[in-house]
Amino acid sequence: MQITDKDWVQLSAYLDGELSGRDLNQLRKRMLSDPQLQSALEQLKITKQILRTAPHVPAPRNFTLTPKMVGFKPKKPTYPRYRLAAVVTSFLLIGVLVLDLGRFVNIGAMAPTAPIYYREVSQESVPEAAADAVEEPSLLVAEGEVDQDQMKAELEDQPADEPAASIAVEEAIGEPVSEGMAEDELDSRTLEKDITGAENLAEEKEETFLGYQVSSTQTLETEPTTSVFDLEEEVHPPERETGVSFLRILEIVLGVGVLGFSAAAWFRRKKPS
Amino acid sequence: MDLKDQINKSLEGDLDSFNQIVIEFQNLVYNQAYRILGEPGTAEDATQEAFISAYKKLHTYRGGSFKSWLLRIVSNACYDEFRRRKRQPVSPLFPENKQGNEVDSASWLEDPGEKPEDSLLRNELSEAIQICLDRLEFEFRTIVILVDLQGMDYASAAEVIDRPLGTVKSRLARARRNLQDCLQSFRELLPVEFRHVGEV
Repeated sequence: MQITDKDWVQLSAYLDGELSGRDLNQLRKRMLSDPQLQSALEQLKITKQILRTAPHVPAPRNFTLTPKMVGFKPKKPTYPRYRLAAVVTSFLLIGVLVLDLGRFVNIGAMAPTAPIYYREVSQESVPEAAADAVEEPSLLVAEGEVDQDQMKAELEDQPADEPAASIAVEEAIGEPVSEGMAEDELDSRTLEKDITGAENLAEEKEETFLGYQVSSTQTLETEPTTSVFDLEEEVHPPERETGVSFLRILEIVLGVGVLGFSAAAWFRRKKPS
Repeated sequence: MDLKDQINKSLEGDLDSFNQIVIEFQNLVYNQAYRILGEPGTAEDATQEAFISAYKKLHTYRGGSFKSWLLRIVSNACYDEFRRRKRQPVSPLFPENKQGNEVDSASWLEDPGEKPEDSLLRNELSEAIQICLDRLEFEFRTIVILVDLQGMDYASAAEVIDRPLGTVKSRLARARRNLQDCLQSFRELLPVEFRHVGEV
C-alpha cells in the first residue's frame, strides 16, 4: 500500500504527540496491519533524532544593546539648568539689593538739606512776595497786565530818571501822576496805592504770581525773560514712599526665585528623572 | 527580577533591563538565526537586528509566550536577511579589484565566514544537518528548526510563523521527508544506529 502525503502528515503529527481523537485511533489501527506505515514512522523518528543531535550553537558574543543602537538619546539631567537659574537670580538679587542700598544712602545724604530749604521758603509769605513782584514792571508784562509794546513806548516817553515804578503806581491808583504834585506827596500816595494795589493783585493772582521768577539781571531794554518752575516741587521736600516700593517687591520675587531654583536643583540632582 | 518586571521596565525605557532579557535569550535567538541562515556572520547580524527590533516593538507584546514572540521576530529578521542575500550579485569566477583588474590571490578562495572556532563547532554531522536544512525552502526550514531543534510544539510554531496549525503539520511532515532523503547522502557521517535509515 502506497503511503500518501496525508499519511506522512499523520505520522509526523503522531510522532510529536500532536494527533488526537479519531485520527489517532485510525492511524494506530492501520499501523498494526501495515508494516510500511511502521517503517515510515521509524524513518521519521530517526530523522527527528538526528536533528536533535545537532549541537546547540552558543552565541559568539553578547548582543546587548547600546543607546546608540536603538537611537535612544539619554535624558540630560535637568538640575544644571535650575542651578544656573539660581545663580543668575542670585546675581540679580544682589544687584537689586545694591541698588536699593544706594538709594537709601542717597536719601540719607539729602535729608539735612531739605528742612533748610523748606525753612527758607517758608520765611517769606505769599503776599510779601507778591508785593515785591508788583514793583517790577517786567513782572506785569509777564503777567499780561500791561502790553509789552505799550510799556516800552511809555518808558521811552518818560524821562530816564523817572522810576519805572511810577507806571505801576499809576496802574494801581487808576489816575495819572501829575507833574506838579509834590514829590513827598507823590511818594506817600504812591506807596499807599502801591501796597494796596499790590496786596489786591497778590490776592487775585496769588497762585500765578508764585509761578514766575523774574530775572535779576533784566533791564527795560531787554526782553523780559521768565522761567517757569513747579512751585510744589521746589517748596516741598522729597516725598517719602509710604507703601512697599517696586524694589522691595523685586527683591522678594528674586529671593523666592533663588530659593525655588536652588531647591529644584537639589531635588533634581538627588532624584534624577 | 522576573521576566515580566524586566519587560515592564524595558517599556519604561530602561535599556539595562532589556539587556538582561537579551543575555537570557541570546543563545536561543542566535541558534535559531544560525540554523536558518547557516552562516555565523549573517546570523550575528540577524540576531542583533532582531533584538533591536524587539526593543522597539516591545509595546506590541501582548502577553503569552515571550519566547515565541522573540523567535517570531528573529525569524522575520532572518527572512529579511535571506531576501537580501538573494538580491546580492553572484561573485565573479575570477575575482576583480575595484578597478576591474583581475586579482590573483589565494585569499579569495578562503571562506571569510569560516573561523577556526566555527570549524570546531561545525562537526561533520552538524555540517551535514546544516547542509540539508539549507536545501529546504525558508518556511519549511523555519518550521523544522522550531519544532525539531528548538523543541517547540505545533501551536507555538504556528504562532511564530503566523500560520494555521494545519499548515505547520503538513509543512513539517514534508520537510522531514526531504531531510530524510538528504541525510541518506551523508550516511557515512551518521551514527551507526542511524545508518539503516531509508533501508526499508
